[in-house]
Amino acid sequence: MKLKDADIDKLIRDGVTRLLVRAGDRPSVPAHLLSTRVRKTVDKYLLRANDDTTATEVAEFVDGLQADDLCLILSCEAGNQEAWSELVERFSHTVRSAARTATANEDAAEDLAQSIWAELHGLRARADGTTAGKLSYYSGRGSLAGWLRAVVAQLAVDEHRKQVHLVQTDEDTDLDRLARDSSDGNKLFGLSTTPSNPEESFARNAASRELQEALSASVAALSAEDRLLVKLYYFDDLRLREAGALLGVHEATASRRLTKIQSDLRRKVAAILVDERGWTERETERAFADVAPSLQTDVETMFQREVAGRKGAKSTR
Amino acid sequence: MKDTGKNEIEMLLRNLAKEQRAGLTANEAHLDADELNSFVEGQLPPATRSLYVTHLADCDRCRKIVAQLTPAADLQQVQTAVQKKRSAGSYLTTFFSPFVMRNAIPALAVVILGIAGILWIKREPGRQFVAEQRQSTPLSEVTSNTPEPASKAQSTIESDRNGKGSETKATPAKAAGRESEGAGSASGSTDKSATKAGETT
Repeated sequence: MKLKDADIDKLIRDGVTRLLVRAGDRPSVPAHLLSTRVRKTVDKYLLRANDDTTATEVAEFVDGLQADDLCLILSCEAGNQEAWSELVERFSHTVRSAARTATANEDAAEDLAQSIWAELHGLRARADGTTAGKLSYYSGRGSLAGWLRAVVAQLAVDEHRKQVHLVQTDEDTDLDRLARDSSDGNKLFGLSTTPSNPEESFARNAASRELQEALSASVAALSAEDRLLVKLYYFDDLRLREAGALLGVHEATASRRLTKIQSDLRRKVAAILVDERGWTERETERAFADVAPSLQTDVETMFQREVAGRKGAKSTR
Repeated sequence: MKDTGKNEIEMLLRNLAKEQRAGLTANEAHLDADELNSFVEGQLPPATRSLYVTHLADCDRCRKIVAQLTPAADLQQVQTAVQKKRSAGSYLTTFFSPFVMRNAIPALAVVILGIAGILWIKREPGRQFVAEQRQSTPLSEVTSNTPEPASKAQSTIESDRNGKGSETKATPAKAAGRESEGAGSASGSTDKSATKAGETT
C-alpha cells in the first residue's frame, strides 16, 4: 500500500530527531530545514523509483544518511562562518587531491580547486540575500568527501569536453581526418590502409564494417548491467576489481560474467551476420580470425604513420 | 579455439571503444554529483540503482566520472570501516547524552536502590532469626557440639609435624644449597664492592 504524504512526513520528522542525536554536538540546525532536505532526498532516491516503499524502508533510509556531514552543510548554507571554516579545513585537501587527479598539472589543479570553492559558496545571491551555491545539491546519502570529489570530477570533465569541442571546430581529430582522407573506398571505419590487392582490401574493409556494426548491435542488446560491465572494462579501462565493486560483485564474479558476455557476444554477432547479412558460417569464422587482429594492427600502424608524417612536415617548415 | 575466440571479441570490443570515444557520445540528461557519488559508494536503494545502471551503460560522460571516482571509493570503504569503529564512540556519546543523563540515570539509581533495599530487608529477618537461635541454645549443647574443631586441630598439628619431619629428612641438599648461596652472595657482594671501587677511581 502506498504511503501517504502525511505518513512520510511523520516518518521523516522522527528520523530527523534521531539524526540530530547522531550528529552529536554539531551547531544546531533547525529541524524544519533538515526535514525539508531529507524529504527531498527521500523523494529523489526512494519514492521516485518505487511506489511501494514501506515505512521501514523510509526509516532505514533516513537512518542511513550521513548525519554529521549533512548538518555541517546545512550550517554552511545558513551562513555559519564556523561551519564554513570547518568545511574548508576538513576538505581542502580532498578537493585539491581530486583536482590534481582530474587535471594535467599543478596550476590547472589549483585553478580547478579555487573554482570548486567558488561554486560551493555561490557567486550569486538569491532574492532573500542568501547565496546560491552547489551545497544545496548534497543530500547526505553518500559521504561529503565523495560528493566533493564528484563535483570536482564533473567540473573537470565538462571543462575538458568544452575544450575538445572548441579544438574540434579548428582541427579535426586524427580519426576524423583519416576518415576524410581515405579516398578510394578502402575505408576501415575511416582508417585508410595500403592495399596490396585492392579487391581483397575492399572486401576485408566491408567485412570489418559489418562485423563492427553487428558487434555494436549485440552490445546494445545486452542487459544494462552487462553493458555497463563491458563499457567500464573496455571503454573506461577500469580493472575488473573496480568494475566489480561498482556493480556490487566480487572480482572473480565480474571475471566470470565478462567471460560469459564475450561468448554471448560472439554468438550474437555470428547470428546477426548469418541471419541478417547472409554470411556463411565459414565466412563468419574467417572474418573473426582475420579482421580482429588486423583492426589492432591497422589502428597502431596508421597512428604511427600519421605521427611520423606530422614530424616530417614540421621539420621541412 | 575458445581462447582465440575470446581474444578476437576483446580486440573488436576495444576497437569499438576507440570509435565511440572519438564520437564523444553522451546522453542529454546527466546524473548530478550527488547521484554519481551515491552510486559509487553503494548508497542507493535497489530500484534507484537499477535506473542509474541503465543510464551509465549508455552515457560516456557520467561513466567516465564514475570511473574516476572508483579508486577513491576503495579508499573510502576503508575509511567507512574506520568510521564504523568510531561510531562505537559515538554510540557511547549517545548513551551518555544529556537527555540520557537527565532521565535514565536517576531512574536507574532508583531501581538499584529499590533492589538493594529489598535485599537488605530480606537479610534482616534472617539475621534476627540466627541471633535468636543462638540465644536460646544452652551452653552445654554448644560445648558438646564443638569437639570436632579441637580434634581437627590436633590431627592437623600431628600431620604438620609428620610433614615437617619428612621435609627435614628430604632436604639436606636444600640446606647445602642455602649454604653455598650464602658463600656465593658473599663473593658476589665482594665483586660488587670491587666494581663500585673501580667506578669511583
